[in-house]
Amino acid sequence: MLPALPIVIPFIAAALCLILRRNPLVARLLSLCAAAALLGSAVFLLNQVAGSGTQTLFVGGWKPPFAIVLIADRLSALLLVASSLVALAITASWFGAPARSEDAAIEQSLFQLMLCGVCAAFLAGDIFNLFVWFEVLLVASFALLAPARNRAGLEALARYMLPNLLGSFLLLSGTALLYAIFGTLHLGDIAKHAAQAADHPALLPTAGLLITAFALKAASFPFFFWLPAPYGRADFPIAAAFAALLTKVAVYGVIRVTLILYSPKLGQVLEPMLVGIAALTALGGVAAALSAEKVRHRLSLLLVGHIGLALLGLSLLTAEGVSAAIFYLLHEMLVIPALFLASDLFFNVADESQYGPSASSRRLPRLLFGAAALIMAGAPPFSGFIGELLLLQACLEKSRFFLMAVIAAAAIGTLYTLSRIWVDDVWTAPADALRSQGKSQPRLALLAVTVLVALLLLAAAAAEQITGFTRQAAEELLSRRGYIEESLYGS
Amino acid sequence: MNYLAPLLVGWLFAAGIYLLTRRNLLRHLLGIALLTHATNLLVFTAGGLTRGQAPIMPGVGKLPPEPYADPLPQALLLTAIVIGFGITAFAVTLVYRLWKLAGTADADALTAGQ
Repeated sequence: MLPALPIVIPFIAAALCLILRRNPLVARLLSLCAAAALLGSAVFLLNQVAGSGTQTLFVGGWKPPFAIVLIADRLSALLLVASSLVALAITASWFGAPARSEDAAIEQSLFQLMLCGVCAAFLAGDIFNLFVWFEVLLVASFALLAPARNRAGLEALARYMLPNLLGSFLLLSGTALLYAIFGTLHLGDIAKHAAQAADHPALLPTAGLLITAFALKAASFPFFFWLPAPYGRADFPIAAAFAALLTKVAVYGVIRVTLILYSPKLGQVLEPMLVGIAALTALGGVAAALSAEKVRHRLSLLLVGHIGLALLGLSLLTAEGVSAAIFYLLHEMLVIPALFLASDLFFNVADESQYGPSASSRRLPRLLFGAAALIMAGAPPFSGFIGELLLLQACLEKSRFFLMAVIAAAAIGTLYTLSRIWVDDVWTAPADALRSQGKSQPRLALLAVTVLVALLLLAAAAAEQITGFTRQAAEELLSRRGYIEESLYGS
Repeated sequence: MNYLAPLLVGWLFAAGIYLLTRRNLLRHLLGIALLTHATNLLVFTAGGLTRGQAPIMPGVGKLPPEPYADPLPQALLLTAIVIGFGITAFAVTLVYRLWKLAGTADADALTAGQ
């Protein structure tokens, strides 16, 4: 029952928000409560997983391997907790924006649906189920971008839609071919037969299709050109939600598929491919961020670069590498919405010369932005630094000195870009600024960002426990023991 | 060995991607539609094509006589068709709205103002 909760809670909340759409404030409150309940269930699930191993749920009571199974292993549980934290912060920060009639309630409903898709994708133990949840979250994200009344907004939506649709088609094709090879859709079953199927001529193209599809959705090289368009245009909580959730689910997809299909023979071909994609994404994203002009674009492209770094950790295919990748992913999931939300408490997105209400009310957002930027840039002793250190150690272990240079270059680029944003846009804000839309500084949004930053600081302090847990998660993933046993012969 | 179905899938993919590279947004729509069909046909083909019986059990606990069609890809296909339909409907609305706002369906003209 427990693994189904993270899917059921947002789904019910989405339905209720639609029913209550005449009352947008109630809908927002409902959304907030649902996010809190989701966080509670995710933490409880994490507790269970840490205590008694992988949790499974066979939907409908069918027997394995025919059942559609929801599996929560350590990686899924960690990502669920991070996603629900982000969701709570975003639903809280929505309270500052004006509530225009029914649109605000429908927006909440769509956000909960997107959240449902995200959580379910983390829990899916069946490759087709994974595809379906990806579609759910994709279409929900389209609909969240759709209310843009102007041409530029719709253009951004079109620019977001087409590459992601192509990614979906590739994902479905990969799923079909996977079924053709293995005769089953069940990830545990596939993992069990992965070594025997290593000689199948169609295995490499299938793996390539699946990884390409997820890489496209995760905005890695050479598919990251769609990312700045929607992130630059969306309203502030939506952009933060996209940044924190969508690309991370795709990276989770890459991790899952690579490690399920992994066999030494396949790994020989996959590893250079993954290393190449990851390194080029890291360098390309950071380079593009250096040359971008608007704050939102810079932050989005930095996000792309950091996803490249996480993929770099994965491509090492060792326990240290995957553990570093997971840690970095968790850190990114918290720091990116903090940056987006803090910067939007500060600027008006469409026109960056308009600053927030008064100088004194900008002090706290400025401080929060600075703290989050320091954490992201990898300043010791915060979690960004720890993540990059773990990645460097993992590369050192395999004597990949070139990759260490790539990581260092990406880190320096990040530091430079964030410093430029700070100097150009944040520090030099004029004392008397124009009022932005007459809204006062939303307190809940400030609280949300403060909590995110505080959590990041806590993560830095508790880094040893967290990395111990991610190390266990990585070992579990690499051995796939938990997945095969629990999912096929589960509780 | 059946060559027709895979060739058809490949041809549909090629046509769909070709249309996605055209200037007119309406061609993009058609490209998406063709890609949906291509992917769905691939799901169907990948499950194995048999000129056999329908996969319906004649009685409790009895299997239909071999060879029977594999029901699982057909179930996947149904889901995929519905998903594709929803996406195409959304894309049509988007293109229409964009055309109304911008007065043109030319992709180059639309991005010129970036």
